[in-house]
Amino acid sequence: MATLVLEKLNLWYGKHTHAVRDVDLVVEDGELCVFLGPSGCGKTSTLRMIAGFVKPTSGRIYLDGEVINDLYPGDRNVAMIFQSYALYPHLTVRKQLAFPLEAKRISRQEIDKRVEEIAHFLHMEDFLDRYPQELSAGQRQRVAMGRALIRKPRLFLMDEPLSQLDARLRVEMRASLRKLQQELKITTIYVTHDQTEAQGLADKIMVMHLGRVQQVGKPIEVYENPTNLFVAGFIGMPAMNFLRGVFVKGERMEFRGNGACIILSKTLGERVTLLPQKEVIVGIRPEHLSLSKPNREENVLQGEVYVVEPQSNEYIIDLRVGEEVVKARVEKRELPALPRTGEVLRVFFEDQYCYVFDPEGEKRLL
Amino acid sequence: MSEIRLEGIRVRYGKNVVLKDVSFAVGEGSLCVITGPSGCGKTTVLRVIAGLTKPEKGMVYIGGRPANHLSPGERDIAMCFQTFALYPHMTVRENWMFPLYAERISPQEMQKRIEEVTELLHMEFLLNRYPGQLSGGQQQRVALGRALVRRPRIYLLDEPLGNLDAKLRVEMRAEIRKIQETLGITTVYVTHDQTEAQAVADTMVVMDFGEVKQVGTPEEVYEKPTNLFVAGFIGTPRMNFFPFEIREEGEKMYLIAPFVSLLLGNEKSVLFRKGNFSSVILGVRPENVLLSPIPQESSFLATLEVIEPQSNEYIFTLNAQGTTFKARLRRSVLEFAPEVGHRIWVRFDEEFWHLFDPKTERRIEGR
Repeated sequence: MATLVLEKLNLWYGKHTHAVRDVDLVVEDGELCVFLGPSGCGKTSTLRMIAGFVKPTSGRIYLDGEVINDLYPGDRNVAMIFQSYALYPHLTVRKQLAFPLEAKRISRQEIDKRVEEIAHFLHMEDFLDRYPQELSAGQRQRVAMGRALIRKPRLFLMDEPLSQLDARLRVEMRASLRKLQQELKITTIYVTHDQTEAQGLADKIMVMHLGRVQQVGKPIEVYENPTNLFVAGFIGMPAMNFLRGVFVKGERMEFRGNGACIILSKTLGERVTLLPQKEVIVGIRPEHLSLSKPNREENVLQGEVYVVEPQSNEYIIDLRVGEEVVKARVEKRELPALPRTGEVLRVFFEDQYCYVFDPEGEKRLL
Repeated sequence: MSEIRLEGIRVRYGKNVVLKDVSFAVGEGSLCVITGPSGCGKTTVLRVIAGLTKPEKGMVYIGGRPANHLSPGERDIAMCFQTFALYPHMTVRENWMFPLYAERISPQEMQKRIEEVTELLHMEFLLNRYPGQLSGGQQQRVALGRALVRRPRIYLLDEPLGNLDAKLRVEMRAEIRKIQETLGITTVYVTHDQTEAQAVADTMVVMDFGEVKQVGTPEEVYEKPTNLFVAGFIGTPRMNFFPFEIREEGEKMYLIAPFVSLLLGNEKSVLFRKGNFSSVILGVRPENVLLSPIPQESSFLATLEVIEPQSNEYIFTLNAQGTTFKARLRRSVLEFAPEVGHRIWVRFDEEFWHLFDPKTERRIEGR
C-alpha cells in the first residue's frame, strides 16, 4: 500500500549526460504505472532512482509522503523483478519463496505459514516442490512475483519482465500479469520500450523521450489525445502517418504537401482556419483510414497501391500519395477484392481523427 | 529459371531428425516465407536450399534441375542474415563492391549495378558512410544491397529484420516486400514472427518439429488452418480452443460444454454424423468472439477478467465457469462500458468457427 511521488527529479551521469530531466509524477496507491520510451529515454534510470541504485542529482522521491532519497535500497521496502526472473535453479519453489525470509531471521513456523499463504494466493500449491526448470513460463512468473511479494513490499518495480519471452507468450503473460497485479493491488512501476505492452498493462503511462516526460495519461488518452508529435508517432502500430505541408484556402480549405492534396470537410476546414499557423504536420492513424466511396470528396486521400500486407482479418495497404507513402489498415471484409499494386485507391478519415502538429515545436495544434 | 522444389527432404544431426519429409515448391519470382517456433527446422531448410547442409534423403530442384550435387557457390544464391555482417572498415559503396571483385566484374558494370541498387534502396546520400554511422534500418538496407548487387537467381533471407525494433520492423518489411516485387527474384524468407510472415509472403510454409504443417497464401493459412498447430500459431492473440461433447437428442444435435450448449445447423450435423464424432474442438479467433450486454441466441454469460486497450481496440480476457478465453473488439463497436468483474453475454460468430478432430488434430471440413 503506497503512493509514489516524484518531484523535479534530475539525474546526471558525469558532466555531459543529463539522463533524466525534471521528472514529475504521481502514482496512486494500487496503480500500475508504465514508464515507456525508446532506449536511452531515461526510463530505466528513473526506475533505478526509485529502487535506490542511483541517487538523484536533484529532486525528491516520496513514498507515502516520506522522502526516501537517502534510504538504502534494502530499507525502502521495494521489490524488484528483473527480465530473467533470476530464480535460483537449485532451489524448489518452496525454498525460493522462503529465501528472502530466512535472510531476515524470521521463525521457521512463521516462514512456513507465509509460504503457504502466498502459494495459496498465487495458486502455486501444486508445484511447490518443483524446480524452476520444471515450470512453465507463466509459473515462473508467479514464483518470481511470490518471492517478491512474500516480503510484503510497498512497491513493485519491474524492468522489462516479459522481454525474453517470444511474442506469443508475451501477449499471454501480459494479461496474466495484469490480472495478478489487480488482485494484489500493489503499486507497481513497469518499464518497457514496447508500446503494445504498455497499452495493454497500464493504469497510467508515462511516455519519456530524451530524459523528459512527454505525456502522462491512461492508455486510451495517450492513444487518442497525444500531446505532441513524439507521442503520436510512438504509440500505435503501424505508426501514425505524418504529412508535412500547408493549409491553403481555395474554394474550400485544403491541405497540400509533397504532392498530396486533401480537400477538408467544412467542419474541419473551420477548425483549421482558427489555427495560428498554416505550415503544419498532419497526422492520421492507419486504422482511421477507411475505403471511400467514389463520389466522396472531403477528407479523402487518393493514391496508388504500393504494397499490400495481409494481417489476420485486415490488410495493411501502403498507398503512394504524391511523394509520401501512407499506410491504411483496412478490414478484409471491407474490400471487394485484393488490391493490386498500382491500382488507384481512395481512403478517407473522419474529422475527429485528423491530428495537426506544429513542425517547429512539435506540439499538437489540433 | 529459378523456381525451387524440395521433395521428401530428410536431415539428421546425429540421432536427431531435424527435418522429416519436407516437400514444397517456390514459384519463380515469388516470395516464400517459412515460419514456425524456434527449433522447428526452418533455418535448416534454408541451409539445404543454399547447399550448406546435405540432406540424408530427398531432392532439391532449382530451375527444374536436380541441385543436390551443386556446391553453394554453383547455385547462384545470395544470403542475408539477421546479423548484417557488414565490414566495419569499409564504406557502404565498398561493402557493395566487395562481392563483385571476387566475381571479376568489370568496373563499368560494377558502377552500373551499384547505381541501380542505390536507387532501389534509397541510399543516394549514404554511399560514403561507414556502417557505424548508419541507423539499424540503413544497415539492414546495406546488407540487402550487398546480396542484391550480385544479381543472384535466388535470394535467401534468415530473420533479416530480427535485429530491428518493432517500429522499424514494420516499416522495413513493407520495403523488403516492395523490393522483391520490383526485382522479381525468387526469395525464401525465414522468420519466427507470424505477423511478419503474413505481411510479406506470397506463400507461407508453416513448420513444427521438422515437419511442414501447412503451405498456403497468408489468407488461406489464417482463414482455413488445416490443423490445430497452424490454427494456434497464426494470429495474435491466438485462437481460443474449446473442447465440446457432441450430443444427439432426436433429430437435433448439440455441442455441449460446461458453459454453453450450441444447437448445430443441418450442415454441421451431417458432417459430424458422417465422421462419427463424439467430441470436437471448436476454435474461435478473439476477433470473432462477439459481446453484448443483452442475451442473444446461443449466447452465454462470462466475466470480464482483464481489459487491455490496444490502439483502437480492446483485448478482453473472459472467464465462463472456469474456461478462460480472449476477445478482440474495436472500441467504436462496443455497446457497453467495460469494467473488470462485469458479466457480459458472449457469442461465437458461427461464420468463423474452426472445427478440429481431437484425435487427429486435423480440421473437419465438409464438401
